[in-house]
Amino acid sequence: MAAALEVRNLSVYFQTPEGEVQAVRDLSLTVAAGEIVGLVGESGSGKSVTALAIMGLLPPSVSRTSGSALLGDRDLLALAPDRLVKARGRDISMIFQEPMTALDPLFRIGDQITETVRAHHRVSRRAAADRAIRILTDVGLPDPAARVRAYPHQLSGGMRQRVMIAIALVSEPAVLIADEPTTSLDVTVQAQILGLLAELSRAHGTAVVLITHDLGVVAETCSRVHTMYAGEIVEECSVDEALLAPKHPYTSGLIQAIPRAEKRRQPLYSIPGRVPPLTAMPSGCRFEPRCEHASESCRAAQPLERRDGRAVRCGRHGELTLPGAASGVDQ
Amino acid sequence: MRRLLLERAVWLVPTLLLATFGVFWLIHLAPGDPAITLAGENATARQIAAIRHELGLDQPFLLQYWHWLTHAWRGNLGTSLNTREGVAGAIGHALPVTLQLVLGGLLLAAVLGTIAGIVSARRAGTSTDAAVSTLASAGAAIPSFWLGLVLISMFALGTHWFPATGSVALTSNPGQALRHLVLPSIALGVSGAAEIARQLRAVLIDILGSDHIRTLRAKGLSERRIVWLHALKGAAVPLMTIVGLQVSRFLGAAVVVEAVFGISGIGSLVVGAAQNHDYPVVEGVVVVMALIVIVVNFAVDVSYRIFDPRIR
Ligand SMILES: Nc1ncnc2c1ncn2[C@@H]1O[C@H](COP(=O)(O)OP(=O)(O)O)[C@@H](O)[C@H]1O
Ligand code: SF4
Ligand SMILES: [Mg+2]
Repeated sequence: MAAALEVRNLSVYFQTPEGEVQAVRDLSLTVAAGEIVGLVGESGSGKSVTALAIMGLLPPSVSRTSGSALLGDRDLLALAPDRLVKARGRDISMIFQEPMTALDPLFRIGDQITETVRAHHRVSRRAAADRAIRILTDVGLPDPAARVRAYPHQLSGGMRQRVMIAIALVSEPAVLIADEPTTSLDVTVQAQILGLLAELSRAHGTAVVLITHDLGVVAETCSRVHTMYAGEIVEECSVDEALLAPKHPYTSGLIQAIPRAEKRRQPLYSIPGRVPPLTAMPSGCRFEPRCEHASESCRAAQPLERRDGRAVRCGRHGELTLPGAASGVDQ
Repeated sequence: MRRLLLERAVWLVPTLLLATFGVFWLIHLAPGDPAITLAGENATARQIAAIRHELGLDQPFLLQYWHWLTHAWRGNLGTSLNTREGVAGAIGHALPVTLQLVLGGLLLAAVLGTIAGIVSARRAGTSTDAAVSTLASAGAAIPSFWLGLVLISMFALGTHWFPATGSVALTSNPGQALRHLVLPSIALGVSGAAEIARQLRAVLIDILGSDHIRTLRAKGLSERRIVWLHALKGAAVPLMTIVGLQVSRFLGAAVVVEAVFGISGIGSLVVGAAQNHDYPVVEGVVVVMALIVIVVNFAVDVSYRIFDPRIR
C-alpha cells in the first residue's frame, strides 16, 4: 500500500529560558490510505508536539523542526507558508482533545464548516451550506439541517467532537491526525466516536494517525501501533503483536495499565515514576530510571532495532519475556 | 433585553440624585456670590439682597436643592442665573458641538487603536511591537491641551491645512465641519487610541494563543481571516468595554480641548457657569452627561449580547 503520510526522522526542539530542549527525537512513522495507525504513550511523551510539528502548527518563534513529513511528493516541513496553509484542512487535517474549546464559541457550527469549504474550494455559499449539512449527516449529528444554526455551547461534548470531525473531513483530506479525540468523553460516547472514525476512514480511504495515552483505544481501532516514550519511538509493530507479545518493557507497562472490566474493583495500574523532563533526559535508555529490567548495559544509548517488520528500542528485548494482554482486552 | 433596560433605568435614579446633589453642594461651598456679580460694580447692599431674594439664594441650601430637584423632575431645568437664557436651550445649542467632537475623537481612537493593537499583537515580541508600544505609551502620556497647541501651531498656523479654532455643525456644512474637527479630534482621541491599542494587544495575544484559533489554522484559514474575523470578534466584548469607558473620559477631556480650540460646546458652557455660581446650568449639564453615560453603557451591554451568543 502506498504511504499517504510518511514522517522521516522528525526532531523537534524548543527554545526555553534554560536553553534549547529536544521534545521529539528522530521519529519516523508511516500511514497508508484507509489505515488507522496508533501513536501511544503517557502524557508528556511528545505525541501532541509530533502532531503539531507535522501540521506546521508549532509556534515558529520558539520551535525548530528537522526531518521530513511527506504527503505524496510534498514535504510539509519544507513547504512555503502559503502552500502549507492551503494543504491544511484540504490534504491533511487534525482534530483535538478538547471539543469544548476547539470550536470558535462565537460562530455557528454551520458557518465554521462552510468557511472551511470556501477556504479550499471555489464554491457558492449555497453549495458550501449543502456540503455542511451532508458532512454533518455523515458524522451522525442528529437533525443537521437545524443544527447548522447552533452555537458550540448548545451542543454536548460528543456532538462537538462530531462537528470537529466534520470540519476536519469536509474537504476529504488524505490524512487525518486525531490527537486524543475521545479522552475527554465518557466511555459510551468514546466508543461511538472511535467507531465513526474507523467507518469514515474505511469509506473514504482516509489515513488516520490516532494519538492516545490509552492502549485500549488503540486495541479497538488501529492496525499498527507506535509506542512513544520521552520523545522517541520505542516500539513499532502490529496491534496484535504489541498486545500479545510486547518487546519493550514500556509497551508491556502500558498494557498492564489498560482499564479492564474483570479488574474493575482493583486500583488502576500505572507505571511507577514519571516521564523525565526535557531538561534532564537520561543519556542511555530513556526508560531506564523506571524500568524493572534495567541493567548495566541499559546506560548506553539504545538504537531502534528493526527486524521482521517490527522495531524495538531495547537492547535486552531478546532476553526478556514480557507480559502482554494474556487475558485479552475489552473489545 | 427588557430586563436590562429596566435594570439600567432603576440605577439611573440614585446615580442622578448623587451626582446632582454632589455638584450642588460643591457650587455652594465655592467662594463667590452670583448676586454680587449680577448687581454690578456700584450696587448697594440692599440691591444685592434683593437679587439674592429674587434668585432664591437667601433660602437654606437644602431647600434650594429641593426646589431645583422638583422642577427638574418635571423636566424644567430652569434658567441661567447669568444670562437668563433657558438652561435646556443653552445645552441644546452646546451639546451637538461637543457630541461631534467626542464622536470624532472616538472614531479616531477606535480605528487607530484597533489597528495598532492588532499589529502589535500579531508581531508580539518583535521590534514592531516594541515601537507601537512605545508610541502608545507616549500617546497615553501626552496631555491633550499640549497636543492641541502643538497641532494648531504645526497644521493650522504653520501650514494652514486646517482651521485653528472654532467649529461648524456637521448638519450645516459637512465638509467645513470635518475640516474643523480633524485637529481637535486628534487632540482628544490620541490618548484613547493608546489605551485601546494597549488593552486590545493583551486581549488578542491571549485569544491568538487559544485552542479554537489553533483549530482555524489547522483547517487552513488564512491568517488574515483568523485575525480580522475570528480573533477580532472574540475581542469585541472587551473592546466595546474599553470604547465605552473612553466616551465618559472624552466627555470630561472635551472641556480642555474645547478651550484650546475655542469651541463653544458643553465644556465652555459649564466652565463659564461654574465660575459664576450658575448652578442651574451646571446641574443641567451634569444631568445630560449622566444620561449620555448611562445610554452608552446600555449600548455597550447590548453589544455584548450581539457579539457573544453565550450571553443571550
Ligand atoms: N511550546 C513549548 N515549549 C517548550 N516545551 C514544550 C512546548 N510544547 C510542549 N513542550 C514540551 O514537550 C513535551 C511533550 O509534550 P506533548 O507533546 O504535549 O506531550 P503529549 O501530547 O504526549 O502528552 C512536554 O515535556 C512539554 O512540556
Ligand atoms: S534498555 Fe534496559 S532500561 Fe531500557 S527498556 Fe530495555 S531493559 Fe529497560
Ligand atoms: Mg497531548
